[in-house]
Amino acid sequence: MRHQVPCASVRAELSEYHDGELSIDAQILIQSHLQACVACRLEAAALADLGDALRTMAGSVPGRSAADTGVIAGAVLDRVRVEQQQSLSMQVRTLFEDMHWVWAGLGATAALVFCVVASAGVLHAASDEKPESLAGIITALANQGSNDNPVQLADTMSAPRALFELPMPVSEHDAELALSAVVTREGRIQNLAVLAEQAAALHVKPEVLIAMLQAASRARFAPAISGGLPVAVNVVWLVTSTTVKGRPDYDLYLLAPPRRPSSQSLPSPLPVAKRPPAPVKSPAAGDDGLTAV
Amino acid sequence: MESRLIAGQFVKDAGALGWSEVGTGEAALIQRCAAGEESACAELVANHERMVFQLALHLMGDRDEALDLSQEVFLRVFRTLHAFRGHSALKTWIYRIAINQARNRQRWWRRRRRSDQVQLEQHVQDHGELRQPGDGDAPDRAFARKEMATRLWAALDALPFDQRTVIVLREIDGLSYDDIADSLSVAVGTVKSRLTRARQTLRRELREVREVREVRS
Repeated sequence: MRHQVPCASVRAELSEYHDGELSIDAQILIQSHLQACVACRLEAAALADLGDALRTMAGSVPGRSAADTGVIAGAVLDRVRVEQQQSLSMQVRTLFEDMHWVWAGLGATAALVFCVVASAGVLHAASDEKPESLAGIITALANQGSNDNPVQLADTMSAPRALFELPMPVSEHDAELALSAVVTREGRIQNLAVLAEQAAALHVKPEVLIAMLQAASRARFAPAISGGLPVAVNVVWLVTSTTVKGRPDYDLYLLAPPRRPSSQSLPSPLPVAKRPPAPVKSPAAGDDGLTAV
Repeated sequence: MESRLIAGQFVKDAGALGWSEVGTGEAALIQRCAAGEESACAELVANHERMVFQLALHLMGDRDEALDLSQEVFLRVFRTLHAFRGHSALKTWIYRIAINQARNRQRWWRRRRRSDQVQLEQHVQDHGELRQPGDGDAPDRAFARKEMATRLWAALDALPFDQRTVIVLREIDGLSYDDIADSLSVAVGTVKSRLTRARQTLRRELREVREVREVRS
């Protein structure tokens, strides 16, 4: 027999038909199909049978008694009451019932705040890092090119340049003075010192030397640049003081035609210092070695 | 004074709710509960405790666990009553809470129960025989019905939690597809597919029981 609706379509919707979830039209269609189709009717009956069996089973579960349900309300309300008593506001209210505990608590809190503030003050005061401390050394080593850890000049760097001419005090003797210094990132001179091996051999008067060092320390440089950033570098600063002496007609001497030397010795270009006259032994002098000039 | 005992954490803006899905009497009950009226809370529990307990019992399969779960559900209801906006029926909302609580519990509970599961004979000895309608009938029919209920209970217990929940809500509690979908926070199509799979499994079990019975007879 050929049905109006195919069995497959009916069975796909049989569950919803059983649950009453179909529209009226769909229900009528399926109902008419079930009246005509035995197989689908058996299928629908099996669904109804399962529902009956489940409801029968649910009614037979052990322990499902009216007493159980009565227990729940009492237990729930008791627990709500307990939670209410244990709530924060109740605890705070209980806390303030005995003022002895309040004062003790306030005192302890004040002490704690004082300790925290004192500790913070001590930590703040001790936070300045000394450059000679281990932490300071480690920081300086980690920061190459800083003023505390200057680097050697390299080919990749631009050397520091003096920003202006520096008037130096003049020594009356010829001297070459090597100064070691650090040109900082800001272009200032620091750690200025005369190199140790030179210091012993200097013939410069101490006051002139001090004046030279003071003048050198006032020098300003464009700092050395490495990778686009200024870096502090170690430098050796060579200061030379040279006195050039000549006779007034020396230019004429140079312009004059060369003369044939009359002897083997060449004329000295520079005037020879006059030898002081030999001491004259006084006839009155005795054997004590005293001389008079 | 006593009626204000339960005021506190759930006394919030219950008065500003929409209540589109909630009846007038139910809305008034909720507002009284939210205001901390103990008699209203007792009434709310009394109205729904049977429903919640049965659902918990069918989902957990254990009386003590169901009692404990029911209490947790109502505590949760009172704690979150201020968040209830009335977009669904109170019953559906409570169902949702119960299902979520059961889902949270059932994993460790089933593991624990599996370890100390007792034989049916032991269970009957402790709790008595499974009650059946028509227990006064002929002994062979009564035995058949008990056997059927026992097998069906075991089959229901073996179903995945989502399928078990759907079939219990539909066949035992009689909820519509929309209410089930709302309680489970899933689409109606998901409800239908889960229901179909659960029915196929249970019908297979039912058929086997019937065949065994026919062979015996």
